[in-house]
Amino acid sequence: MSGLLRLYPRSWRERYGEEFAALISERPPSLSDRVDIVRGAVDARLHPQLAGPDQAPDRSGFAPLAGLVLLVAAVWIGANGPVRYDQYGTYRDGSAAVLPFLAAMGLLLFGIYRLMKRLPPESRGARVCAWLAIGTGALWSIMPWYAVAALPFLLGILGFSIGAQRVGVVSRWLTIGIVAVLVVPIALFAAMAVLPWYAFRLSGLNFVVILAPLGGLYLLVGLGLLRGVPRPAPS
Amino acid sequence: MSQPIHDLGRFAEPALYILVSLSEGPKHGYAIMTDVETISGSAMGPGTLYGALARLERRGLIEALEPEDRRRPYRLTALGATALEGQLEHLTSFARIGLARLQGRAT
Repeated sequence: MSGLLRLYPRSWRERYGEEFAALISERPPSLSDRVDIVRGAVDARLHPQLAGPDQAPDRSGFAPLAGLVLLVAAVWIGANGPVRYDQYGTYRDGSAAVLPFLAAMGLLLFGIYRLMKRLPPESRGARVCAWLAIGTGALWSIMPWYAVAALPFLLGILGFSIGAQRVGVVSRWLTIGIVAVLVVPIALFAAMAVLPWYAFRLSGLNFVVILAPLGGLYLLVGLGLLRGVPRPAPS
Repeated sequence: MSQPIHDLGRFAEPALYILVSLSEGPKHGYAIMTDVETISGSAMGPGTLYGALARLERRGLIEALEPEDRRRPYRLTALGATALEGQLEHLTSFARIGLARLQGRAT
């Protein structure tokens, strides 16, 4: 029987080998059981992810990391735009930052989409949150000055990360990181919804203070995809 | 409505039997096999059992507990219980329609 067990991949044997051998010792396999074990071994080799890492590293994680570089560029451009004047006084014109910001957001949304693809079919809540984040994120990226649009985007990511962690698609530490990173921008965007906009746009500070914590989100989504998710240890 | 175990191919039916078996309480591999045999009237091979267990565990429908000796029990998760309930309701509705049509044909 140990010969048949050796047909399975090593990762599978490490995870299930001991209990599988115990099962076989309790019920000596018939000929049809042996055929079934061989079929199972072929299946385990065709689907190594079933016993190995829950999700293999995904190279598309480089996209959010490239987005982070663009976001930093957008923040720098926004904070160093030309000084303009209006009825409220002087301010920095950050309109040149829109294009790199748009590209950065596109790469982040792609990363979120790739993470969402890992969700099992029954995770409807997390999937709805991911689509909410992708939809409102796309909307916000074409009009970043409309701060209120960012709220459903950030809340969508929050809901998605918590839902994805519950089904083991993202690690607990990744979710804790995302929640920690999003608390500041969500609080600031909520404040911007009720406070006068001009109070936040002095010297381009609005871009720096609000978008800088979002950089952490790019990093976490990128690393989450690149690292994959270890299969949770049995409790 | 998406069915969490419908797309498991040849493992869909064994997976359903396993979920039904675990709805009674945690069981290890051998206990699941014998229970499934009682429920379905046919034996489930060890390769099929562990192919289905791995898929169910990966989808978060069941979870492994601490091993007892060399045997590791599995239990149904809340997600698994919801999925099983949905699947059984779907089958009940399917059976009701089928039987009604058969009765209509007979009259």
